[in-house]
Amino acid sequence: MVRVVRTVCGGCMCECGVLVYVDEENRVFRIEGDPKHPLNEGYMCPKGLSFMQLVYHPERLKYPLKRAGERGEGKWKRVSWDEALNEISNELLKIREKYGPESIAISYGTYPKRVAIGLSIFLASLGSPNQLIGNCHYCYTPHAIADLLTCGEIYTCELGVPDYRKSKCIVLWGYNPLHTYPPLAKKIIEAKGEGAKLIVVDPRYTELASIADLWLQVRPGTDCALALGILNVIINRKLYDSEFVDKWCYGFKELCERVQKYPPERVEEITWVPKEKIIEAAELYATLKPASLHSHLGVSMSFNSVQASRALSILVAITGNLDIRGGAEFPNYPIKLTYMNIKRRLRLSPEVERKTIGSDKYPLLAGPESFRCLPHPPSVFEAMLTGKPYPIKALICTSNLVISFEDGRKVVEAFKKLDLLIVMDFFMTPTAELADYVLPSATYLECDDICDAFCYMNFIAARQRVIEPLYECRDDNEVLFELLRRMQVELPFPASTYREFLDYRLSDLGLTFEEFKEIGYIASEFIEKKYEKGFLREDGEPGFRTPTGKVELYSTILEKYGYDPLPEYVEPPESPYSAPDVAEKYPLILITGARHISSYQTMGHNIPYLRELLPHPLIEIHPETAESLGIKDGDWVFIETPYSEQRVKMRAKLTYGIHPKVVSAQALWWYPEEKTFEDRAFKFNINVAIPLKSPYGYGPIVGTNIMRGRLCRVYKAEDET
Amino acid sequence: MLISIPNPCIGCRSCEVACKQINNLPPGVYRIKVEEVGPKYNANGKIIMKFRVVRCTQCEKPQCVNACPKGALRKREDGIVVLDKALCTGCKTCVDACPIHAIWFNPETGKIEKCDLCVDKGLDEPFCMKHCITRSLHSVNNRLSWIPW
Ligand code: SF4
Ligand code: SF4
Ligand code: SF4
Repeated sequence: MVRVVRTVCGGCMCECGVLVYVDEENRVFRIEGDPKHPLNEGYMCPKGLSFMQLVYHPERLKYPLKRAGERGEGKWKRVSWDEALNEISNELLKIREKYGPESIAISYGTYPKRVAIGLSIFLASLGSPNQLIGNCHYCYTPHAIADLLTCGEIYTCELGVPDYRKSKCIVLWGYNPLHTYPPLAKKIIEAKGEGAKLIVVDPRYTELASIADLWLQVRPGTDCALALGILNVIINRKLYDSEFVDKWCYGFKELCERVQKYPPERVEEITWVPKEKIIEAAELYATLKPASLHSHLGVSMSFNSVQASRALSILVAITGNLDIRGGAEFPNYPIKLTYMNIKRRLRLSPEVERKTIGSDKYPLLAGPESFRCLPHPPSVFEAMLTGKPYPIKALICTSNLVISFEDGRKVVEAFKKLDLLIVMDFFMTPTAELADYVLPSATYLECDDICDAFCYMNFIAARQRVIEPLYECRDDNEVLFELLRRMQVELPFPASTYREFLDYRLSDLGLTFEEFKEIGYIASEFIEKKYEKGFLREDGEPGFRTPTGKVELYSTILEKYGYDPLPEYVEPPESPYSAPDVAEKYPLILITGARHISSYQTMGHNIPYLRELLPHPLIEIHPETAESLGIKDGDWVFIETPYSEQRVKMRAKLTYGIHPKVVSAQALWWYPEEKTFEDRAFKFNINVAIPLKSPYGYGPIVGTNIMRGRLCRVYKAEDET
Repeated sequence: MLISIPNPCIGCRSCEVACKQINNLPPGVYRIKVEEVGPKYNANGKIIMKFRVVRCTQCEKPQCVNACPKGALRKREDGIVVLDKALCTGCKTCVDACPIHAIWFNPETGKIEKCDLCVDKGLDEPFCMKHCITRSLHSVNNRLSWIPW
C-alpha cells in the first residue's frame, strides 16, 4: 500500500509543506508541494523536488566514523554509536575540566533549524557561551541588531514577513528571494500579478528585477547612502506617517537633520543610482500603504552593515508600516516555546557570557548586554589559531565551515589545532574530512520536529518521520540529547530526550507531539499594531521594547556604547574612491555571495538534478569589461583580491545585468567530485580570496568582514579547461 | 483582479526538476527545459530578461507523429501526443522532426522522452504545472492548454 505523509521540507530554512509518497518497501518515490501549507501553497523549488536524490545518495554517510590517521588524511575506522558517543562524552568532559566550558564551541549554519535547537541546548547545558553561528557577522545578525536597536523586534530580514498579497508596494533590497526564499518569491510574484508595485535594489539585474517597476542598480557597499537619500526625500516632502512618528518615534528631529546631508544629487554620486530613480522609489514606497521592505546579505555583507540596515529599519518605521497587515508583520506564534524564545531561555549568567569571544570589542553582538550573545566568528578562529584570549579546544560542527567561511585555508589551519572536532552531516564534506568523529545525520524525512520557520510568522507545522533513518543515521537532535545524558549534564528543560522536549514545547496547547502530527499545522490570528495593545513589552504597557519605549530613530543604545546613534554613510574601505592606489591594480568591484536556486549554502553540488541546473560556478561580467580583458562567455577566469594570496577559478558569464565596473562571483562553491582536497575545497570557492582579517579590520558594532564591495582583478585562465 | 501575463515564466526551473522527478529522467534528458534570454537591451534601450520554456505543444498537426517510422507516436482524441514505449526503437527520427526541439533521447532506456502532460500519472494536473512558481499568473489552468511560456 502506498502511504502519503504530510510533513515539512528540510531542503532549506524556508520549511515548505510537502506530501511524501512511500511505497510498499518503505521507499520514498515522490515528493510534492502540499497545497494546504500556508507558506508554499503547493509550490516547491528544485531543491525540495530533488531531495530524494540526497536521501538515497550512494555517498551518504552511513555509520559513525572515527579518524584512524592524521587529521584530514582520509583514513577512517567504522565505530558503533555506543563507542562514538562514550568516547566523545569522555573527551568533552576532560576538555571542560581542563580548559573550562568556554573552550567548547558549537557551530551551525547550513540547514540551521535542523539542529540549531539541539546544539544551543547542548552548549548552554555544558555552560559555554561560544555558539558560533557560522557567518553571523555578515548574515542575518546585522539586520537583527539594527531592527532590535530601533524597535525591539526583528522585521527587515527573515522575520516580519507579511502575506505579500496584502502589500501594495514591495521592496527587495539586496535580497533575492527567488533564489533564497522561493515560497516567498511565489507570493511576491502573485502580488505583482495583482497589481502591487515592486522595487528591487540590487547591483544585479535579477529575475525579480526584470518584473519590477523600478530597479535601482546600487554600487556595492553604498546601500546606507541610498537609504539615507530615500529618507531625505520622504522627510523633506513630508511623505512619512506623521501621526505614527509623533506618537511612537524618538529622535525624529535629529534624523531630519542627519538626512539633510543626503540630498538625491549627492546620493547619486555616491551610489551611482540616478536621482530621478531615488525620488521615484521614495515616492512609491512612502505613498503606497501597506508597503513591505525586506533585505538580506546585499546589505549585511557590507562594511558598515548595522548602520546601513538601521537606515532600512527606520524607513519601515517612519512610513507607518510597522506591524500592519502587508507591512512588517511581527510574529505571533501559537506556542510560547518558539525557537527564538528557547534561545532566550538559554542565556547564561553575565559572568559566563562575558567570556564570549569578541565581547570586549562587540558588546552588542557578544556578552551579557548583547542582544543574542554570539561570539565574533573570525575571532573564534583566531582563538583556535593563537589560543587568545583563551583556547578553543573542541568544536561540534553541523555546518561546512571550510567552504562557507571566508579564508578556508585559515579555517583548516585552525581546525588542525583543535583537540576534538565532531562533524554531523549527510556527506563527507571538506569540513567532515578534518574531523575526529563524523556522525551520519538523518534527513528531514527521517526526523520528527516542530517547525516554526522565520518566514512562518504566525503558525507552526509538524515535521514527521516518514521513513526510519537509513543505515545507521540518526537525528542530530536526538544524538545531542543522548550525549548530554551520557555526560550526566542537567538539562535546562524538563525533558530527557528530544521527543520529550517536543512534547514539552507543545504543553501550553495541551497537545502531545503525537497529536500535533495528526493536526499538521496550528495557526494563530494576526494581531495588528501589537505595540498599541501592550503585547510587545514585558511590563504589558503599550509601546516598544526599547529603552525609551518608542521606536528609536535616534538609538539611545548606540549612543550609550559610543557609536553613532543615527545611520551615517561611510565609504567602504576598499573601494575605487577610498583606495585608489589599490584600485589601480585591482580595478573591479567584487560582490561575492550571489546565491542560486539550485543550492542551499554548501548543499546541492553533488545532487545530480541540482548540479545539472548549474554545473559550474559563474562570475558575472559586463560584456564591455570582458571584451577589454579578452574574456568570452563561458571562458574560465581567475579572480584575485588585494590581501589574499589565493586565486579562484570560475566561469565567465557575460551579462548586461551588471555594472561594467562590478563583477559578481557566486557563493559557496565546492567540487565534491574532485580528486584532491585543494581542488574540492578551494579552487572554485570565492571565499578563500577573502582574508580572515584585512588591514582595515572589521566593520563596527558586529565586526563584519566585507564580502560585497571589495576590489579584485579578473583575467582569463589560459590553457585551462 | 488577476492580470494574466502572456509569458510569466521567471526561470525558477521547478518545472524542469518536477518533470525529472515524476518521470525519473537521467541528467541531460528532459521533457521540459527552460532557457534564459538576456539580460539584454531591447530596441527601446530598456534592459530585459525573459525565459523560454521548451516543451511539446501537442501540435495540431504533429510532425513527430508523421515522421516516426514505427508508428510509436500518436495524437489522442483529446489532442495529447503520446508515445507507445513498446514500439519506440530510439531511432531519433522524431527528435529531428520536432520543429521546436521538444523531444529528447534517453540513453538509459534507448527510447525518446516527450511531454505527455502527465496523462498516465494519475495526477489532477501536470506535475510541472503544479510546481510552477508563476502558476497563478498563467491565463489558462487546464491540463491541455497548460503552456508555460
Ligand atoms: S524552498 Fe525548496 S528546499 Fe526550501 S523548504 Fe521549500 S521546497 Fe524545500
Ligand atoms: S506535463 Fe508532465 S511530462 Fe509534460 S513537462 Fe510537465 S511534468 Fe513533464
Ligand atoms: S516552474 Fe514556471 S516559472 Fe519556473 S521555470 Fe518553469 S515555467 Fe518558468
